[in-house]
Amino acid sequence: MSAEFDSLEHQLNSLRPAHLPAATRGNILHEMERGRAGHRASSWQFIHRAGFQVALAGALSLTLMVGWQFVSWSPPPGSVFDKPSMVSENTLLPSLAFLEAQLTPVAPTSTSTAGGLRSPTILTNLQLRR
Amino acid sequence: MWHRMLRQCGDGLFLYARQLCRNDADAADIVQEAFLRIWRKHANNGVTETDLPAMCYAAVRYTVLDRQRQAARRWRREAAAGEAWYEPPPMFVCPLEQAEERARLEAAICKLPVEQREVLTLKIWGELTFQQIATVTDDSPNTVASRYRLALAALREQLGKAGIP
Repeated sequence: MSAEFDSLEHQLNSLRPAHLPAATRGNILHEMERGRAGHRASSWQFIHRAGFQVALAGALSLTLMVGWQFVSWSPPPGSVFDKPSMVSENTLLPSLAFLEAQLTPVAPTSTSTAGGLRSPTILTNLQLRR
Repeated sequence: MWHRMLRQCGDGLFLYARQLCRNDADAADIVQEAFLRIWRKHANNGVTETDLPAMCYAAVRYTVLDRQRQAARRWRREAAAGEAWYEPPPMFVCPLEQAEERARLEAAICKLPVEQREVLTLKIWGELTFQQIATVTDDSPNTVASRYRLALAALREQLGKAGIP
């Protein structure tokens, strides 16, 4: 019985299905290519969208502002901060020493104010800003 | 992968669609729709090449059933009218010296009940396993295997009557 089935299966296997029409095959390939191209085009169009460009401009502006503030916090050359004595006294707190030196002529600070400025919280913030 | 899949399974999908809908133009449309549907769904989700044939055959089946549901009345009317005068082109290609044998086999296959013909097509020309066929037809693998055996038995009987050893 099994041998009979095997010979019949062999006969059936020798038949090959008629080909899918070339036009249909071409249509499928064309649609696949178009789909891929459409996917690429949509990402390219996204880059050109007004919303994306506004967001990009905003991000760049923000980066510039942050960068400018960071640069403005750097000690100017030749300032009081450059003095060796100040550096030696406040090696761990250069920005605080610079701030103190700047503030003293404008508004003389008391010992408590200076102490407050040296409090760990403020120091941490200043260090973070640095 | 998709181009290779179309090359390997395109003819089998077309045969399967023809078995189900008995109309060459519709069958070609159905293969196109089903294949592109699978491609759109799975082109970017890392589907494996071994799973694809069964998915494509299932999509063809689903598309045929969907179309039949959408236009059942029109479908029946056209099919009845079409069968009266339309002689479909051969379902298989073979060398000329085997043309007679092909015609007998094809006639015998066409006489099979649609469920058996479906399983036979998926097994022999779709090269699917019984498990995969069961997922395509939404039956149990045992049912599918049973239909396959019945189809072969029926074919043998018909071919025996026709005098083919």
